[in-house]
Amino acid sequence: MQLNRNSAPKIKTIKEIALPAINKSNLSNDIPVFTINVGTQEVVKIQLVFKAGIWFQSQALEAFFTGQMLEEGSTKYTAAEIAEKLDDYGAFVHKKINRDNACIDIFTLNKHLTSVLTIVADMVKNPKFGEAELNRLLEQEKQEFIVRKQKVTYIAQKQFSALLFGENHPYGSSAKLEDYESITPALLKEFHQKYYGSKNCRIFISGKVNESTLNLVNKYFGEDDWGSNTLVKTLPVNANSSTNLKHFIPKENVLQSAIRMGKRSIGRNHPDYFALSVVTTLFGGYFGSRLMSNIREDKGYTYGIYAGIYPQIQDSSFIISSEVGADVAQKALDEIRFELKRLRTESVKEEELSLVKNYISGTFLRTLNGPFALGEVIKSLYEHGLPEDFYQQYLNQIHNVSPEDIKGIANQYLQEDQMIELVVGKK
Amino acid sequence: MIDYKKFTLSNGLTLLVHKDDSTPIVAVNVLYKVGSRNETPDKTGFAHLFEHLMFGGSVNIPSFDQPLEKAGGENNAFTNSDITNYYITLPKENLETAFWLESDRMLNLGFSKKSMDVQRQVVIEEFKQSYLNQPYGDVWLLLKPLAYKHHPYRWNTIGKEIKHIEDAKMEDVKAFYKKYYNPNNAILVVAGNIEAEEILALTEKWFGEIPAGKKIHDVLVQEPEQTESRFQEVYRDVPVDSLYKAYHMAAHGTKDYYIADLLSDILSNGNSSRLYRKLIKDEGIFSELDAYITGDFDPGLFVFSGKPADGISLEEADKRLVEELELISNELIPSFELQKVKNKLEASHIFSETSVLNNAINLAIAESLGDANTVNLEKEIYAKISAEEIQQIAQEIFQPKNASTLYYRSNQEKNATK
Repeated sequence: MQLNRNSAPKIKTIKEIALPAINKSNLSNDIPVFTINVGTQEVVKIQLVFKAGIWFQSQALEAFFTGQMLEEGSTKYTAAEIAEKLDDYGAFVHKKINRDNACIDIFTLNKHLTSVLTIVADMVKNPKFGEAELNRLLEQEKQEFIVRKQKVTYIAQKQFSALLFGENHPYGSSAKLEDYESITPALLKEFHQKYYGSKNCRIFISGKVNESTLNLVNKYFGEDDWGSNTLVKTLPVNANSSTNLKHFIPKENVLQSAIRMGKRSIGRNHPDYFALSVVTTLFGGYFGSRLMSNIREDKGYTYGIYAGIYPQIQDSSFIISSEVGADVAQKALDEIRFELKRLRTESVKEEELSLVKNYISGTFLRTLNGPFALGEVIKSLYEHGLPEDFYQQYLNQIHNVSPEDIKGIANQYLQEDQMIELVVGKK
Repeated sequence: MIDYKKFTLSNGLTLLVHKDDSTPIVAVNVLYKVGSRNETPDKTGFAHLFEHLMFGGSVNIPSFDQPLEKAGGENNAFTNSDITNYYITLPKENLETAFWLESDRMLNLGFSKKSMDVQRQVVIEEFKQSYLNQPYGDVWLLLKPLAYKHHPYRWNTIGKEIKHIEDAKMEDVKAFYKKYYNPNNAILVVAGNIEAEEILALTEKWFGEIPAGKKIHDVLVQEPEQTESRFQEVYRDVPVDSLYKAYHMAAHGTKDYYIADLLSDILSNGNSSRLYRKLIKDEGIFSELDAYITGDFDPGLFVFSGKPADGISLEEADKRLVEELELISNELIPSFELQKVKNKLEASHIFSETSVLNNAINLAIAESLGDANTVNLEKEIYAKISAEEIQQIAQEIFQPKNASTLYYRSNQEKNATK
């Protein structure tokens, strides 16, 4: 039979998502635990999450260095011993200190779980905050910071957060070189005392999990209360977006300029979120998006350009970002505005719309792929206060979005003359 | 353990199928055995530019990305010195879309002028973004020609200079495709919740009729042994000095390669590794320091890159690093230290095996080096390495005459540290 290469094989639209069962329980001291048992390898990831992110700090870098110092020595172990033992067990501990939370991720082979938890529990509950270790770490991080702040991308990212939320807002603030001078062991100790406690902790476990996993986690983190007894509350902070819409930070001798454009937006629990995510994906959320097709694939101004909603727990933003040839920065900005306007004024063709919906559905499957990715997903659902069937709802909703909805949503949320614009480099 | 079945089509295409029933996603990986080492010195950056053109549409399918995105799929590709690798992940239900797309661009590419013009520009922007507009971005553009004087590894995959990319012509591109993009020069790996027979049938259906190309016999100039230490220093507009050292080492897949890999782990993988503990944490000589191997198919490089801590000169830092290399060359490493890195390596392998795409790519690379099953044998190879072998390889590699050293100096240091 002659093969017909001109027409695509039949495809199936993904309409259902099977999320493995999420098991919720409490440790003896009431720390909530969410487990998901998946995967074929004998490995497990345990995530301890504390409300101990930038949101809660009283001065810059406090949350970051408190988290980083956990591995630099505890009551029972020196920094060198912690490093040596974790390496010997082949375990990894990642400390992710973000704007909202501090998250300690532990990856280990199941056969070493007991040994690894013995060390990590002491690190988390009884860190030493030694002065010599802190000073060394400060020197290391300071140098990295000095290098980082040379990059147009880094400058743009920091400055744009400040423009969206105000530089005193936890989502808009960023560290300066002199802030490294005011970090002391006493300050970090106090922050740790206040925020790293059982009352302020949630645990997410994914991978090959069984009853003994839970028993061990209970033994090391659940038997008694530890840390502060006060419940941590997230206090609201007012965000102040810049009222001046156009910003330019000149930088000499650059070949490319960093571009950011965007505004504050709605989060994942807003009823319009699903439709808006279809619009932003179509606009700049995948390789074949309007922005990529125009600015990279047609004009060749950039290696990549992206747009999307960045949902954080307390607030969200819509951001377009790219690095473009310094001589075409203004042309790229004009094209971005042209594409934004087109969303509001031209009806999208059914074919492009269905492609985007299918693409998003496939992305969900990828997001839910593999034991560790699934752990991330349940953590994020819980932290954002979203229901377990969020992705199924999402999937159902996006398939109902019409070309008319796209125009309406774009008019409501993506007006090009309301966007804040920032260029770092040349214009 | 990554189980797989291997088939060879009559046109020479190698097919590997790996079953993993824990995921709704299928990974489809196509590796072409061509990289920047196959380029000529006056036309560098070609293999990578070509990777971009592979997305510009094929004879029967005007757009590669759109139909894939419509099937809920995603794709990307990378080029290095030795190979060009394309991969797709998509829902299992729509697997055939990947076969349709990949086979058509292997059969015949579209070669539109528009795609050529635009991708040339996109690659130039990529060149700027990754190599020229970043602090320390041009390090590899300096280090490779310092370490290699003859082998094609002396230029980078992105190309020696932007001009080579600007000058690329359609006829060169077509000749390149004709020579290298053939089933007999490719390896297809499919991994996911699938059956080998079903995949073999699909492969016969879509790839079976693609004619084989001429057998390729590129003779690559091999690098003669380095007989004298090499040194270069540059001044750049960066805030902090940086030190780079590259030593020649064995080719990927050889016994000595695995020993060198373990040696690099002892020196700098993990917070308890020697260089991290001693030179960063205890002595504060460096603020960052890494040791790693390039993993090239022909003899590659054992590389150190580090930034001296504030107040430490490049010369002092270099001297202290070399002392550590002498130490590991002169003294047997304690058995617990060796066991520790082996444990860590074994765990990393198991973690990496949780990704179906990683498994597909690793199988393809191992097969292109000669035998996919190496991915399953490596554990045993590493386990058997002795302290004596490590010492011997350290002695061979870390000879002063085998070193290429680059001092990357800041011309603004005084301002930045204030």
